[in-house]
Formats: sequence, structure tokens, C-alpha cells
Amino acid sequence: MEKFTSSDYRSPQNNDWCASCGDFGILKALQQAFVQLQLSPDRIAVFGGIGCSGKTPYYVGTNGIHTLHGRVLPFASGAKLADPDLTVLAVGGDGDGLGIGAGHLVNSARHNLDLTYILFNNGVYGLTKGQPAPTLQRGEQTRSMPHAANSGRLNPLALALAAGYTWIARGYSYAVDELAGLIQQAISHPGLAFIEVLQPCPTYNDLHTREWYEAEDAGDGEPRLYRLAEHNYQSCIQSGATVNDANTVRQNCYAKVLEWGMHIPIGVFLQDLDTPVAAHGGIPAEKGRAEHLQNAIDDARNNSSGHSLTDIESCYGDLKIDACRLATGDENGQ
Amino acid sequence: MDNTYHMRIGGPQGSGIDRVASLLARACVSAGGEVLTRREYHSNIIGRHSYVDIALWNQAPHSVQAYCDLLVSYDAETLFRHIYRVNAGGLVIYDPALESASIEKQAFLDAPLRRQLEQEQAAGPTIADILASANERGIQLLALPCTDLLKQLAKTSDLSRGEVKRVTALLAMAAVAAHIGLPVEVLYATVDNALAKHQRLLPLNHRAIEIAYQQVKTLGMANPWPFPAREVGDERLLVNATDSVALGKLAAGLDVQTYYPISPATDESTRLESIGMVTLQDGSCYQPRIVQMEDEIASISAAAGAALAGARTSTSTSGPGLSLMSEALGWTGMTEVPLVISHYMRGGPSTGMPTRTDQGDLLFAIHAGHGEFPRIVIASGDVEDAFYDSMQAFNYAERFRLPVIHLLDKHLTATSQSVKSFDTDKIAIEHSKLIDANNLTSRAAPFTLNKDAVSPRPLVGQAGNRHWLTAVEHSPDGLVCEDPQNREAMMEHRMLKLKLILDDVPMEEKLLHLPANNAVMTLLGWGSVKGAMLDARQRLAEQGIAANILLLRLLCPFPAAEVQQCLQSDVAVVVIENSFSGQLDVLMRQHLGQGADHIVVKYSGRPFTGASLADVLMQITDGQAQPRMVLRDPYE
Repeated sequence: MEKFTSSDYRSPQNNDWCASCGDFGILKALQQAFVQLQLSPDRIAVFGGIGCSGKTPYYVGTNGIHTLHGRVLPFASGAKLADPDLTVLAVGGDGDGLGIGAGHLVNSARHNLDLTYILFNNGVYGLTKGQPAPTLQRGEQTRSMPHAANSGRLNPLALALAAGYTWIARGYSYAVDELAGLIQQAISHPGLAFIEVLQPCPTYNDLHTREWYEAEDAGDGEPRLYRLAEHNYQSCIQSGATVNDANTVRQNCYAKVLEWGMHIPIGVFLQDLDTPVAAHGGIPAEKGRAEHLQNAIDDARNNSSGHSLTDIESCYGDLKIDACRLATGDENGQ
Repeated sequence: MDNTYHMRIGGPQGSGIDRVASLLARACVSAGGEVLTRREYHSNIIGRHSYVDIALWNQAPHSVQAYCDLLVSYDAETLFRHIYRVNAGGLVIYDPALESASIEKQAFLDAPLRRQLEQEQAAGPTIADILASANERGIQLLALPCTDLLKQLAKTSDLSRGEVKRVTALLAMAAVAAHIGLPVEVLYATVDNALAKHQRLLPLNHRAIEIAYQQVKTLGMANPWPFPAREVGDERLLVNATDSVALGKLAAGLDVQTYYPISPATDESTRLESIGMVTLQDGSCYQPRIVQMEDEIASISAAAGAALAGARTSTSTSGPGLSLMSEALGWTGMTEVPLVISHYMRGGPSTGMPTRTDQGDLLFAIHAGHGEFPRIVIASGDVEDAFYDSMQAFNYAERFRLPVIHLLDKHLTATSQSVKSFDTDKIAIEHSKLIDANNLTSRAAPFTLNKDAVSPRPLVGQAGNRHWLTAVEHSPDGLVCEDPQNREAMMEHRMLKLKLILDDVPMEEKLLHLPANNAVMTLLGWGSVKGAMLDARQRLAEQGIAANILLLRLLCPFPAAEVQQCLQSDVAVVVIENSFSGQLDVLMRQHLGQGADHIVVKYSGRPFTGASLADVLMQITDGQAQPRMVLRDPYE
């Protein structure tokens, strides 16, 4: 018997996404992954950026924190730093992560904190009514754009690979079970995981629609979306892998992330078990930190003595100046 | 030495100025003196002029002075820049090899100072000329042939010429030490300690000290050390504000600090990193996480995220960093997250003067971020206050569930002071009142409306509690709600804190009031002007002029009632501020309906010094004073 069921991860908040929005599939997959992992809802924090996708935290029954445009990764990272045992997810749109928050998307990979980042890619800024997002190709023009996009497309997976994410995948919002499986793996991965989710925006993106993604024949008799797992693709860099072996996996991964348009691979692109997870300040004992936090919380609750717990003398180091005892002269060094 | 003795040591950056000045200061403290130092430097790694002032006395000096009693140099630029700031009866230590150096050859001498020197000083174009003129003004000269002494040292050392050259600054410093009578053993011990990891350099360093002492003694210019030796048990720390803030944060139980490198704030985070593991009083250890982020936006965002999970969290920045943090500052105000931001002001706007001091961020700190939300802004007056204020900042943040901006400035980062060991029991540690998650029947409401108290706080990750947080306008439950009545209630709920703070924070935490009998003026300031104000007041008192001091610590919300209470209608109010506009005067007008009678401002990027400030204040009693007076000094 499962302790937590899908109702534990549901929210009473009214959902105001457009009918048939791709976000619904992602939300469902997220909740499904939580059930599969049987994570206690009070020990999960979902952080959202700004935009339609940024509202996801409202619709999950865990802790849900709506942050600022582009800043979801630093906010989520902070919570993970403070509470290393907390399951932390960051969600945001392609404009949020690749436009205003691109610096954070890139640099978060360097920390490799144990988080999951889900990037909802719908090609447009939906909540501001359909401006081109950084994932739209130059020359593409969606429904509400007055002219075709005159800037080129950022490739989210290529960027994640270059930045050094240690787990990289792509899912599709209408393949819910499959996406739930990816999210489950991402949460279980010990390090920073990146999932791009192809997510049609039925209101503003009339190019990358459900029909477009799900075409069984993209023009050459083959479907547009295909599964990496079905193509004998090796995504894993084992712990202790040689530089050569690791680079071979990354090179193959790069070739795969470039595929777009006619055929779009989904599944796990990279699983790097070699790069160490962040240990800021060289802390080996994640547990010790968590205990300290628990103590702080207990202190607060009990409103204990109020005395500083710190042995401040132990912090002085070279700031302290000894009274100089002279080699010659009397006891006081006169 | 019958009063505070002011030494100035100058030279090119990268030549060890800072290091040897710090060694000298440490040795003086070790031998029983009290010091206050001031460091002026360029945003440059090597070559530009920098100098350090060391004020030495048997009790803690309040401020350094524009003029010095001793100037030591081993390059020509230092002499050109500072020789006109040596007091009559003072001493100049110089390298005679520089005598032929001319002013035209000084590439880094800025144009205005060059013109100033050429126009005002008719001494002549070479070092020999200005030394002769100084001598005529009653200044003693001590020739320290650094160039020759280095050659001598090179002969007996097996170190490379480059390594030998690096003791130039030490030679100059040791000559100062010999002149003031610092026992040579103390200097050896200080140097040994500093070079513990570089044993092979010790013989050369000892030899350099030895020959400098010999030189000064031979010239008959060695004085006796004026202070009794320091007693064991009466040790001192030598700290600047970045050190004392770092220590204060650890005393307060810092869990997470985020930062992005920026002058002059970075030293604080570096200090925290170098301390690393912290021992607690029960003997256990923990290691706060000091995390360098990709920019200041990430720094404050990650800090906010950590604070959500219950960590004692702070971030530290300067100038442009706070501009970048503005948006997320509003987020913490809106979601009522306790967060401490240590802001070290520097010359602005924009890149401005990264290594020079300024107080021009006061109104920005009070208003940063769009929309209206409560925050606390406090400022520290000196290095010691900075320790206790940074402890207290966390208490305020947690007690009132809001961001606290702790204002410091470059001057305090560049002022090292000998202080007694900090007393962590002076400030009781407080935490937010938390939601009781044990008795929750439904989700925790992060914001309960309450007319007389801050609402209890939920933590992300707290067992048994789940909640939503958003900086979109929300209901007490944390759910998005733009209903007009809800908006009014939530705005009132948040802004009520400003009143709660003014009611709750005791007067002594709001301001420092030092009244004087028969005062003719009240010196009103905040932050690092404290030292110069105290020094100026003493100097005025020696002239028979009494002045009150009112130093504000709490600047937002503004303690108008207490300020009003401390002011007397027949006593002139003088605002003193390192800014162009005198922003405290703006606040006075805003909150009291009446501004100061005079403002004394200095915006050259250099701090106020006691004697210069006293000179300007004297004009007020002479009836010569303008409403706005600018303190200028071309030589700093």
C-alpha cells in the first residue's frame, strides 16, 4: 500500500492555464513522479519562474514557491544549500531560462547541486501574448507576431551540455507516462538534472502544435518524435570513466542534440555519474549541515537561551594579536 | 609621543605597502599600543600609488588625520603627493637615490594634483628641492638609502634579486619602527609569525630589519618606545569592518552567505571562507556555506532561497551590486523572508570609484526596489559597531520577517582598528516565531493578519508543513489574490511592520546620543563619519566649543520622534556626510519637516578626518558658515 497517493500532490488552487495547454501534461507527469518516488510532500519544494510555466508551483500539493523572472535556479539552489535533504525542483519557461535567466541556466551547472530543472519549451512568451522566445527559429512567425522572428534559435540541450549539466533529457508534454519516468530519473540523479519538455502552446504557437510534434510521417515516412532508447544510444558516463570515454559520450550527445525539425529525439541524452556533486566549502557531511539546520529550527521554536552558540575565539585566527613576550628583558618585556 | 602619532607609509601598489603597514600596526599593538589605520588605494593590481596611515596612541584613536607626523617613502611619487601634508616638527624618511627625480617623470600623478603642486608649491621640480623646502618648514629628514642597502642585502643573500627587491617596503617600515622605538624583537616576532610558511625568506627579512634599525640608530634618530608592554590576557584583535562583519555573522549563527566578487565587499566573504569550519561552544563544529554565485542577482536570489528553508542567510555587496539586487529585494519584502544584506558603499554612480569611500547610497538603500514594502536599514559607525550590528541585523530580519540592509562603506573596510575580543553575549540571538506545524490541520498560512505582531513564519521543508509563497499579491494563505480588499489588507499587514519596528526597537539601538553641556551645535551623522565626529568634538572642546553628537544607527524606518527629542531648537544642527547632497538632511526634511542648519559634505571619495572637520565646524561659531560646506583636500 502506497503511503502517498496522487491526491497528496494535488493543489486546491484553481488552474488558469488555457484549455489543452501542454503544461497540464507536465504537471500530471510531475505528480506521477512524486507518487512513484513516494516523496513526502512537505519535503519537496517546487520553485517556479515567471510566465505560465512559473505558475506550476501553485498547482502542486508540495511546497510551491513562485520566484522571479529568470531567477528560479538561484532561488532553488539556495534552498538546497540550506537543506541538502530537501527534494528541490525548478521549473520555468524557455524565455525564463534561455532569455532573462540564461546566465543562471549556464552557471548553475557549474555548482552541480542535486536539483532538477524542468524547462517548458513552447517557443513563445505565452503570458505576455505570444512574443518569440529564444527557442524560435529565425524566420518563424507564430500567430500573434507582427513579423517573423529576426533572431535565431538557442538550442537548450546543446547549452545544457556545454554548461556541464550532469543529466540531460528531453520529454514531450503529451507523453505523460514517459515524462513522469524522466522526471523520476532526474530527481534520483545525484546532481543537477535538466529536462527540456516540448510543450505546445495551443493559444500562441500555431507552428509547433500537437499535430506537428506527433506527425507519424514528417515527410520521409518516419515520425517526427523518436525515442533515443530505441536506437541503441549510449548516454552514460560511468563514475571513474576516462577522459576519452567521457568525451566520446559527450560528442555523441552533441550530435544528438543538434537534431531538430524533421526528426526530434526524446529520452535521456546524458547521464554523467563522474562529475562530483557540489560540496560547497568542502563540506563532506551533508548530514551534519541538515542537523545544524534542524537545531536552528528547534532553537527558534523553543526560543532557547538566546546566547550565541558560536565559540567566537575559534574564528579569530590571524586577526588576534598576541601580547609579545620578549626573548630578553623582564617578565613583562620592558 | 604625547598625543596620537600619525604615520603615513606610501608606495606603488604591489610593492608590499599594505603588507608591511599591517605588520607595523600588528607589532605596535603587540607591544602595547592601540592603532587605527586607513588605507587608500586605486582599482589596480600593480604600480599605482597607495598609502596607509597608522594612528598610534595608548588609547584607541578615533580617526586618522589629513596631516601626518611621519612620512616614509621609497618612491618619488609618495614624496610629491604627501610631503605637504607632514606636520611642522614631523619627519620624512626617504631614499636619497631619489633626490634627482623630477615631478614631470611621475607618470601616475593625476593632472589636477600635478597642477596643484606646480602652482601652489614654488619649491622646485625635484625631490631635492621639495625636501629642502620641507626642511625649511621645520621638518626633519631621515635619509634611508634603500637602494644601497638593498645592494648590501643582495650580496649576503642567496635569494634572487627580485626577491631581495621585495624587502624594500620592509626596510622603510623597519626604519619607522626604529624611529618610534618599537622593540626589534617584537618586529621579528611579528614578521616570523607572518612568514611562518615562508621560512626561507626569514633570514633576509631579519637582516633588512636589522640594518634599518642600525641606520636609524647611527643617525641618532631612534626614540624610546613610549608605551608599557602589553599584558598577557589583554590581547587585541586588529580588524577592519569586513573582518568584524564576518565575525559578527558567525556569532549570529550564519548558515549561508552568497556573494559575487566586488570591491570593497569581497574581503568579508573571503574572510568567511578562510575561517571555514566554526567551532561551537559545546565543542561541536559546523561549516557555513559561503557560495560565490554568478552575479549579484543570483546572490540575493539564492540567499532568499536559503532563508526560505530556515537558514540564517546573508549576502554581501557594494555599489552596483545593490542595484542588481533591487528586484529580488522586493521579492523578500513581499514574501516576508528574513535576509541580511551587508552593503559596503563606494563612490558611485555606476562604476564610480570602486576603491574610494562614499555614503551616497543612503536614499537608494531606503528606496531600492519598485513598489512599497518594508525593510530595515541600519548603519555602523565603526569597526566595532559593525560586529554587533551584523549580529543584530539577523535578529531584526527574523523578528520582523523582512530584508535588513546593513550599511557600511569603503572607509570602514580600509580602517583596521585594535579592539578587545568581541563579547557575543551582548546581543541575544533571536529567531522568527515559527508556525506550529504539529497542529496543522490544513496547509500553513504564511501570512496571518494581525494588528499588533508579525505573523508566525513557515519554513520550506519544515516537517508537517506545506505552503505556497509568491511575490504576486496574495492572500494570507499565500494564494494569488488581486481582490481590492485583500490588496488593502495585505499592504496594511506588510507596512504595519514599519510602525512595529519603531515601537519595538529601543532608543539606544536607533541612535547614539552624546549630549554636551552648553552645546552650541549638534553634529548629526550616520555610519563611518562617527570617528571624525568624535575627534572633531574633542578638538572643538579644546577650543571651548561644546558640541552634541547624534549618530543615527536606524535609518529606515526613520526614528523621527527620537531624533526630535535629541535636538534643541537653539542649537545649530549640522549634518555631516560623505556625499554630495547630504542625504540625511533630505530625510530630516521628510520626517521632521525641518532640515539641518548646515550640511558639511565631502564627496572626493576620501573620508572625513577629525582636524579638518573641526576646522570647518569652527566657522559655525565664527558666524562664517554657509548652509552647505564642502570639505576639500587635494592631497588625499
